[in-house]
Amino acid sequence: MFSITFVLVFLRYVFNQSITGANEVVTILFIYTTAIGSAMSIDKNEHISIDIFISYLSSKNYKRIKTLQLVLLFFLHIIIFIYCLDWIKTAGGYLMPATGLPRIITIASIPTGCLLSILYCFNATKRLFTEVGVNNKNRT
Amino acid sequence: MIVLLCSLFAFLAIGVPIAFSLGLSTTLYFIIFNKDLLQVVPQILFAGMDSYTLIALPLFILMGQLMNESQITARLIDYCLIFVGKIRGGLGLVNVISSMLFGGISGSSVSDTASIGSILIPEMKKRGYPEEYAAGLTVASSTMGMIIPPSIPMVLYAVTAQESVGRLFLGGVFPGIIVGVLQLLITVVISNKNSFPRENNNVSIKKIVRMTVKNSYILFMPFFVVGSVILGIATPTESAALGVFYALIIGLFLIKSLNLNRIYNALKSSVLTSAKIMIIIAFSKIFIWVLAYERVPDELSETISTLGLGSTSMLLLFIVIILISGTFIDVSPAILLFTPVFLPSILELGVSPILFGVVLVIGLAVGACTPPVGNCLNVCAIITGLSIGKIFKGAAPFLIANVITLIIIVVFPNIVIWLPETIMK
Repeated sequence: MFSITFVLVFLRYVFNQSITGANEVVTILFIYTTAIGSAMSIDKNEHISIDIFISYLSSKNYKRIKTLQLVLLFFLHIIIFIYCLDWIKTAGGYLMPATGLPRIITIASIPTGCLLSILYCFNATKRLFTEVGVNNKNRT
Repeated sequence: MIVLLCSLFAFLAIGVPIAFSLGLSTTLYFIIFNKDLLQVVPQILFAGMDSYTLIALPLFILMGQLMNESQITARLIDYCLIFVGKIRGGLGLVNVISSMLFGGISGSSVSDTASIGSILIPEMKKRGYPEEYAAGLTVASSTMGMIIPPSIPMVLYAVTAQESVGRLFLGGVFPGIIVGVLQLLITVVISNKNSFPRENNNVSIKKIVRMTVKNSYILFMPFFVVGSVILGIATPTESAALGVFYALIIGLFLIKSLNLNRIYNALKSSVLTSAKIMIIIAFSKIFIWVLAYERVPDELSETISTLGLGSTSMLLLFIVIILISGTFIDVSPAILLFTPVFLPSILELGVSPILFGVVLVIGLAVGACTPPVGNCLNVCAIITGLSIGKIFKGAAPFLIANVITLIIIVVFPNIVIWLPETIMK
């Protein structure tokens, strides 16, 4: 993203030229980065949340709440994934204005992110139950 | 509406990440009231991320991370020391001025707290300052990272309110300086009262000139980044990319402290940080869509008009709302939720959207330093090992500067509006 954006500025000021569709490519990369980065953050438990209330729970209840969170995230991503497939069926064939690429390339970022998130939900749940003695004060 | 809000609070209370709490509550709303509308969820989610201007966000974050990895903080601190070291409580003053300079480079309060705090807090403790005071001052002064341009929350507000990023940046200049000056004054008063030490450094014009020249490329960075937007040389996204390039040049060739490993760390960290913010943006779009579908902003606007408040009293009321809610909600989601809800009614009262944005960011910056949800406090607690309550106690006197600034700019809005109106007509 940085490289393309920088090259665009450079070309515009030095050679008075531009690359057709470069902005669209940067946007596609950006959307994929967000979708994949968000899924990875589920695995790393790094999403911004308000943990103040659950921080007072016992280890056992904390695990229960964490599991409930992951189950909720799992269903949310399943729902988005299913409805996104419907959307791809109707809009995926249209072409993007500058690059001429089919829109499915961009829209596919959403189900890709959802699938990864679902996988990471499984992973995080598994880790929650395999970790011995989760300490209340040592939560990520 | 009750289902939407109650479920949102319930999801937040059980620690579901803010982004997904927004997504879950709206999904639940659709399932209960209109299942057919579920098909708009992925479309709005996608639209929330499909913005070229928003690409400035990860690039600004990367720029700040690269500067951080370049270890410029120690240099900035040394530089500030030559100006204020001789004054009583000099290291406290260095802390504030470093934050002002660092704010113009990183655009983020959290990285400001982390980088300045990890160097200055141990040093201040060693020199006899109470750790609570050092930690509190670091946290409070880091709020300038959000106010002084370039500022990541300002970019977020500009995109949400469809305002000019450059005008927002300019709007934050004077309030940022006022916060800094007031915090310096408070530091001087507290230092004299407690007889904090002075630093024994020799200052000469020659030394000042030498240090200024030595650090000129770091000091030039905010002017380079903000200037390129204001002068119309580059769009905010392009200026952020130029900022990344500039940070790479500084780190690789001038300071020579960047290596591939550090660049990789900066890239990884900025991708994850921006993804966390972006996914909140995307899900908040769905939430805002439901609010608009339920005519919440319109009804709020009507309610406010029946109150008969003027623009100043409305903004003062709004300050109270953001200061309270800022203690519970993080800066990015607060900007994304408050802007579409409050902005229409505020605009109807004739308030400038730039003023509203600056008030919002300064108010939420205070929230970042107040428990229970305060990112800067959390970072500082990790650095010092102090409890959040103790750090807040140390920060409270300095946060008064932010609250005073808020009142000043609401009463004298030209402090915010004048610069953008003059430079970017």
